[in-house]
Amino acid sequence: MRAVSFESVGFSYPGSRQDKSSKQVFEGLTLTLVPGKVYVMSGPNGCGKSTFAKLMTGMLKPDSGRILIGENDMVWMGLSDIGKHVGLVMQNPSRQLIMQKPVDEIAFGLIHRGMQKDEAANVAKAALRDYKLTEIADTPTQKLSKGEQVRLAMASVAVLEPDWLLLDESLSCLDGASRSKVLDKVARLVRHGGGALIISHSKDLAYELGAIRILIERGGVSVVV
Amino acid sequence: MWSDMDPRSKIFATLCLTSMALLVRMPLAALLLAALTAAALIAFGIDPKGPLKTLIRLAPAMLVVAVLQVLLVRSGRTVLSAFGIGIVTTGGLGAAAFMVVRVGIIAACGYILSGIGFADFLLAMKSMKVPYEIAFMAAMGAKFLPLLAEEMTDSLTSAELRGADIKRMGIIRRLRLYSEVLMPATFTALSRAEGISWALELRGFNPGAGRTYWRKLEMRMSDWMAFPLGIIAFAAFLLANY
Ligand SMILES: Nc1ncnc2c1ncn2[C@@H]1O[C@H](COP(=O)(O)OP(=O)(O)OP(=O)(O)O)[C@@H](O)[C@H]1O
Ligand SMILES: [Mg+2]
Repeated sequence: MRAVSFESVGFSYPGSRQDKSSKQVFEGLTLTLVPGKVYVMSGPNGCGKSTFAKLMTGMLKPDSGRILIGENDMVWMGLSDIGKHVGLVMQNPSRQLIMQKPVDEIAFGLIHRGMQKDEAANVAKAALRDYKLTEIADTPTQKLSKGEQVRLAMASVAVLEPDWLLLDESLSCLDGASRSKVLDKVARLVRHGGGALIISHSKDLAYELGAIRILIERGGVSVVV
Repeated sequence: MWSDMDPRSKIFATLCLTSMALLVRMPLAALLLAALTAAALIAFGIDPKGPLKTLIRLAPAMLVVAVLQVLLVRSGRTVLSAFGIGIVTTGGLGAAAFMVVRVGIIAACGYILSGIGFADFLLAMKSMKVPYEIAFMAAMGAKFLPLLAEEMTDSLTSAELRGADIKRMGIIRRLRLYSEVLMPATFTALSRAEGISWALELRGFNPGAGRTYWRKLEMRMSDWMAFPLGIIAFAAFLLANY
């Protein structure tokens, strides 16, 4: 299980065609996330939480500085390699769902990581049961409710057993039972030496989980234990 | 200078340019057409860097098509031959060059059209008596195409993060993955378009009723000039090429 370090990372979004100025989100951001811990990240809307998560999964590349997984600079890793270490449930999970059928969605990564088709289907079905998704096994993924999509995205990522699990506002749309289920999974991952980063506006979550709080303000970061 | 030109003259200009781009046959005419497109971009106040970037992004695909055309089109003089077999002909080179010019002009027209605001486009369509439903669908399409692209990129990224190695995949598997990814992206784009038309109507935007618009489209001198200019260019073009 590897730590993830941000070393004086700078990032800005390129300006749009109408408005030429680019948008600076991070400057000189330095932060290390060590495995075996849960981090809860919060901060005002638009401060860059989702951007942080996308940087950590290699979906975005820093303009300056570097991001390391263990000893490896992420710039030199392919997405398929990064995905072995980091799994992300996006703030808008419908964007990360690919297949029509929920079972195929969960099996997708397993098959691409080399599992046989029928075995992958079995694992996927078990995951559907695990996340209480059997009732919607025949609903097209894009028609699922947000909470169902979150659980499906989480299941698809979690079956691949990444070291890190990133949940971008995923808890806010889950009912009580699903929320505990997801938090259970997180706790189990952490017990096995993995780590989790939960982005959430909830003030109490960090206390509830005994997690490390990361507060992001516009441009600056502070860590509170 | 004329960046706030009337959307109708922009639409007219792009119609002229794209149809000329599709019809062009003579090399000299193609060059002149490219120059005319550049002039139109400047006249409409659009930075040519944008279309150029699009061209550069399309470059790998265009290169493949160009190479195929160079190899497959057998006409004109042979320029390069090996073992007594002609490999490259002037006809092939010409076809490739035409293709590049056409793609470039169409990309530039896309930029001119995308510079028209959503509401302006609808107003222009209304003033040209285009049925509202059709105009709205067209405007939606134009608005959601970039979103669709963004959504597909996200799905593809998530596929790669889960182990799909797109760069090393065979062409069949890659096409299958693309088609799988296109489905959910189209679905979200459509449902979002539906959501927007609901939201518009709930906020009192009733396209059918005879409503008044706060903003009025006005054709100015420079706008009226676009029409004779376009017609003259088109006529000269037809005379030269056919
Ligand atoms: N693709 C993009 N292009 C340009 N700017 C962007 C893009 N994505 C995000 N931004 C801007 O970057 C800033 C950070 O966005 P981000 O989505 O990371 O915020 P966030 O902290 O996740 O907010 P929220 O709490 O609303 O989820 C915002 O000001 C946003 O407007
Ligand atoms: Mg966010």
